[in-house]
Amino acid sequence: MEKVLLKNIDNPDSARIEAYEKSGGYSGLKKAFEMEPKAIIEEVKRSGLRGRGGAGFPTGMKWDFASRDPKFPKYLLCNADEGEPGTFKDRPLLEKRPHLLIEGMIISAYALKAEYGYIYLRGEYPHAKVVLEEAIKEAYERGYLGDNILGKGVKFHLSVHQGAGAYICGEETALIESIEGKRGQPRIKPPFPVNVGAWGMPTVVNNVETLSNIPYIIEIGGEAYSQIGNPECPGPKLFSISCCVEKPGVYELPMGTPLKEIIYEHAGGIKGGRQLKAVIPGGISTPVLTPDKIDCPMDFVNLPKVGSMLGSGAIMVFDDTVCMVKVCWRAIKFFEHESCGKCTPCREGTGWMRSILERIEGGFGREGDIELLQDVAMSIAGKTFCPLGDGAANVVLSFIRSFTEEFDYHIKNKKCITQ
Amino acid sequence: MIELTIDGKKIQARKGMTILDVARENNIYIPHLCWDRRLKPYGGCRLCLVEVEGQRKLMAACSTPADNGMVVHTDTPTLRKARKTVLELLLVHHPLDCPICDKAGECALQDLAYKYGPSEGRFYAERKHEPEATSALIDRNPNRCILCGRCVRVCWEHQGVGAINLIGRGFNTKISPAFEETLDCEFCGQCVDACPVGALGAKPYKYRARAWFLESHDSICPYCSVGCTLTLDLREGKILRVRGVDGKGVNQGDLCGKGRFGFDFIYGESRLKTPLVRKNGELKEVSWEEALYYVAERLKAVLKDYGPNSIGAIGSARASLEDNYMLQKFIREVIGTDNIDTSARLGYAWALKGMEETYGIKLNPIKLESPIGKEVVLVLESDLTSTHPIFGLKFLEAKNEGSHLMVVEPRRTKLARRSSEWLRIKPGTGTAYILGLINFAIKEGVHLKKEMEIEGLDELSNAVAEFTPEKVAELTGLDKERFIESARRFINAESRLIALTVGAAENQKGIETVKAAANLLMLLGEGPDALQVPADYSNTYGAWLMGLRPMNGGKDLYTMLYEPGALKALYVMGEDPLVTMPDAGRIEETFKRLELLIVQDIRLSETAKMADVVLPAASWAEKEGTFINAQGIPQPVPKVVSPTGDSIPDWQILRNIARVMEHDLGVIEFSALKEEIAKVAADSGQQRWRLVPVEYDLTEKPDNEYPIVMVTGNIMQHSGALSVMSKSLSHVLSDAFVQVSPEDAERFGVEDGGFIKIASRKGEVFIKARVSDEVPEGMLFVPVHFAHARVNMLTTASPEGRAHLTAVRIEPKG
Amino acid sequence: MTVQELFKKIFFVEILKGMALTLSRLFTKPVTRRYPKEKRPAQLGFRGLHALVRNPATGDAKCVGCGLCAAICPSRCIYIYTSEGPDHQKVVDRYEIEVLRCVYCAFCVEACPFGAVVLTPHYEYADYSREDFYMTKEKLLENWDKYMGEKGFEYFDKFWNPKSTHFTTPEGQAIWRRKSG
Repeated sequence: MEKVLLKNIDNPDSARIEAYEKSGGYSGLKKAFEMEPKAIIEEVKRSGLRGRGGAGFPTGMKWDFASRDPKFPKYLLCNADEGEPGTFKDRPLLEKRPHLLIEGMIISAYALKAEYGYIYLRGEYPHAKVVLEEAIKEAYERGYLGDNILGKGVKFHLSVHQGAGAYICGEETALIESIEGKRGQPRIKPPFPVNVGAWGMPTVVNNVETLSNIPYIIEIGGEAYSQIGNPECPGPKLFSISCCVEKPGVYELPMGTPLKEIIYEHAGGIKGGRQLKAVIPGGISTPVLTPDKIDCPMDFVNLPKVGSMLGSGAIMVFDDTVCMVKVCWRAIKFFEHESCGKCTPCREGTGWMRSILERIEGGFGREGDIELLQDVAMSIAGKTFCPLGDGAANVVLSFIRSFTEEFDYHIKNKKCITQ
Repeated sequence: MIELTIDGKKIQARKGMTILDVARENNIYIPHLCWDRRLKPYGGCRLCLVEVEGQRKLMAACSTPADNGMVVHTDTPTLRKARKTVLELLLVHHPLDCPICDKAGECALQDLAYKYGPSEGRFYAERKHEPEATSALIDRNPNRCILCGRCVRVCWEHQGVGAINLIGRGFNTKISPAFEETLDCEFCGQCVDACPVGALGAKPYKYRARAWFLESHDSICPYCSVGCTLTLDLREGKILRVRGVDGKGVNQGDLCGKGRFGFDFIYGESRLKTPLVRKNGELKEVSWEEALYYVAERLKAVLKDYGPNSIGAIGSARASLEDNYMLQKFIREVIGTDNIDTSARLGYAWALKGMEETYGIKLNPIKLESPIGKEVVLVLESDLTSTHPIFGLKFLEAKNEGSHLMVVEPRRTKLARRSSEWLRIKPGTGTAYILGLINFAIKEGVHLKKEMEIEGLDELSNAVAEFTPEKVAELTGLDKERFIESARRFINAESRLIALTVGAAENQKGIETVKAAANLLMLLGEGPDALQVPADYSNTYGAWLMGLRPMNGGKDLYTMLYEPGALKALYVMGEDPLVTMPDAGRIEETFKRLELLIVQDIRLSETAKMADVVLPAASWAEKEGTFINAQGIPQPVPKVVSPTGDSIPDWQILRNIARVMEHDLGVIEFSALKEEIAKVAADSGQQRWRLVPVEYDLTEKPDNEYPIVMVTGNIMQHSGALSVMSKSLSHVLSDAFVQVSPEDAERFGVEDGGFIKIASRKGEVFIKARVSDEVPEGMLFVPVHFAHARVNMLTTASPEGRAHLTAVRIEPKG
Repeated sequence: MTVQELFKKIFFVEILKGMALTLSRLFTKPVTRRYPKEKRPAQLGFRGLHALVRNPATGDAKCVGCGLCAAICPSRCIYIYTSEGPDHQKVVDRYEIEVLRCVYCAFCVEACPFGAVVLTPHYEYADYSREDFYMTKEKLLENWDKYMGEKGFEYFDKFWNPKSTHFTTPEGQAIWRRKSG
């Protein structure tokens, strides 16, 4: 398939506006300005584009809600707070193709009649910040941003806001709080950000990858776009593959590419030709898959059928030398560290899960620890304020479900099955 | 209306209510820790989880809107399990130091753990945060904190301060002031009441008693005129703490620092215990009998030598209705004169006079809820959150609900900080600003829209003709464009409100301010309800109703205090003119020329030190009484503690003196007073709108010699001279200070914390300087409560009721 | 009246039976004690004079002033006054029991979470004035030294088995280990 998002990525100057324009950049913008804002939203709806941040909410619908709200000004926020372990799909976009994102944001803002936009950038991406700010400056110089874009009377201002390293700020309402200058904690939904968002105004929060898809949709039309990959959730998708594969990295593949194909064809198979043991298909918060399920196509529709989720499309592959208890412990350690502390089950529960896992992993496990772990996880799942707690509980429950023997072995023999 | 089912009960509810609201309204119990009626839902504690049929997840009742046809279960095995686990997790990190925690017995976590919690936890851990014990009034123990965030939210959302916040992330979160410094806020103590556990406590109450040793009585706050209901907690006849109970009284459970911590003035060291009589130039302790006969003899002698008109009395804005009523009865019946007044003459009386001249009404009680729902709310040179804190909160609430809060104010007060629009004018030019608005409204023709006839329009438009936007910009120091923008917003609003105070301690507003504001509102077709001027103190309004003012041509306060020789004898009840009233030097002179000065007070005030006889009165909470608040609501104040020493209620002292003078004043009960109140209230006048031209000019203008304008007023922790007796409030602030702007500090070489000399045309005082950008250049702000500072030696009184700013110069001391 | 009853009545059978018992008791050991000279040891859990347990570590009372004893006391005869000490700790200034009003139910002992108040086996404390029955903290601590002392813990724990001794970490609890660094 022809690369859309990572087009021209090998060009060392791909981040510069000259290179971008040369490869056909900002043509989607010009085309979009010929259209009515409503028509763009219709086009995006027709394309079937679903949010790439993890939840997979149809982008067109989100825009539709926001554009129906009569309040002004509206805000467009780009969620570039890519903080989940294993996920690094937005990084090449931010560092190599910033103009694609900016173009996508301008088109979106035009469709939504938003006049101000912010890119909420992950705190640990200092280089991306430099690149993005340079790119925004270039865009201002070329008249793609400002009070009167391309002389069409469209106003849109864009700036980068760097986070301070909190994973929770990737949750849209926490992101809004953080942009407002408050403590990064999720807000109560409803009201949803599309109605009451940043500074109480209608706000659309979209992922970097989602927004980067917009110029292409405008260029080829929603109908054509919806034919790429799985028609139920079409489009090109970036997959970031890491851990025990020969060629880890970011791959642009159509939605619905089978997991097996990604691992064995594109990523070159398991490192050192060892046995596959487990795959986390969509970033650390999605349930783990065992090797018997890797025929599943990677998309928003099919993965839930085998008990997992697409999430951000961050595939983590583990071979038979990896201790699954340790993986689970490391994942929960992350969640404990990133829990914002707002709601009780997540704040206290993640810590206890980590503590118990630490005990099992360290060889001090006791009889009944697995049940205790499951009990704590069950009391987090579905009872927390935001999905972070659900993610943590999912990890523990799916690891225990899939690798019960390994946990048992750890407790009984005080050592790992892989040793 | 929508209908839903909770626990099998069909319930009608309004749209927009949450499940928890509906349940509470119908007495269905759903446990909760982080929810508070006054705050936006937070959804943090996860105890209020309920099952909603058709929903996969458990829903938090506090943040889920009730919907039509919803079927909710509040008590199922799943929910019990969930609540149990949440409590277990909360309790793991909660130190089980209930035996020494002051909250034990009234702790929400304790109750919930008893009801739902596990008897034994499966986890064990300890937290080791350092408790903060250095802050003045609020004790923080982060180890006990359950991170419900109520204190943080009540401080920011409701109180508008934001002194504390959650710091850190996840489990290491703790509640702390910025940079983990010592808490130094306005000490309203709302966080203490909000805390469901013992993480926040009131210092004065720390380790003093357990909850079950206390008995509670409701009383009315003795400080400002809002008349909040205080719940006094007593142990063995001593008040140990005051708290606000949600939903009780006009304040609905909100309290300010004065009300919450200032109650201990009744245990002040300077309380009078026995009557004192001056013998050989010194005040000597005597028995009641001797004191009463002495007073009676001396009064009789003055009556005989100079006649009744040589005797006057000053009542108290903080004494009860009964006390004040007895005083005026004593003066009118026993002495036979009309020379009686209160401190209201210096402030509130001018507000009433202004209203009478314009709207034609003689009384204008405020309405606490008045700012809510107004499109534009204008606060004119008044620090409402300090003088009337709970009334001030309503302005914050109004702003949160979407009103445009315009604050016209030179100082950066709390309302200015939290306003939608802060117009920083020069001190004392608020009247000019309003006159500018009138001029603007007439020019724009807005006044014609309502199609009504008011007399005096021509005179008014002539009088304000000079107040063009350019002139106003020059006078107030505002940007012209900014003035026009704000004027346009104000006059074009659908509904509007002006609020200001005309306090006895303040000097930047006067009758002309009230008249100007009333004129503006009348032009825009607004009735007197749109002008909110609250009375000063707890019973200013009541004293006014009780006839503590010259009604038949008697001498008023200005004559009695500022005209030496006008009187031969003065009876001062519960007032300290030397400290709280302007131009103290002149008052002192008047006192010196008196033949007899009788002071009846709860403590040995500065005035009492000059008196011939000092009579000890029982204070608030030591006697029964009634206060009428600024809303005109009479509220009973019960007797909860026994009087200090030999002190007896004021009205009894007066009755006893009358007895010695062979008059029987009888006893008074509130039921009898009601008739008096009704009589005065019936005479409150008919609305008769009339525009009156207002002159604007500063009485004292800054010049080369005295280049700075000094503004006096009340501050958050102190109000009048009563609060300085409170130990707790003095912990926060006990020293007099003057706020100097950084620009002036640099210009005059003033250092922060150093003593400076302030000199006015009246005299000079030395006082500690606080360099603060709360005041603009060319302005000083001085609180007047501190007897040792004698700031009111510098100020002048204005018998015409005008704003009477003082021009001063400052220089560093030696 | 039957013949048998008549017979019994004439020959004082009941009285003779009674006298026989009396006669037999003349030859048995007495069951009563000669009390002031001969004292009976109190059994475990006997509810005698009150005492405050002295903490061997600090030398002061174990009591922290939680007031649970005062709360449960049915005759309301316990008074506790606390204040804040120099290191911001809770100090029990006064702990007083009006012994004359006490009903010796020992609810205070059961309620105490620290095992700080006990009823000693001492029961002979008649005195001449009412003031002597107003026990201050000092007197109560003295009582502990006099009547319980070291043996007190044994006496106390064995019978009352106070809940406070169970405040340990049960086996099987997960322990929170702080992260290093």
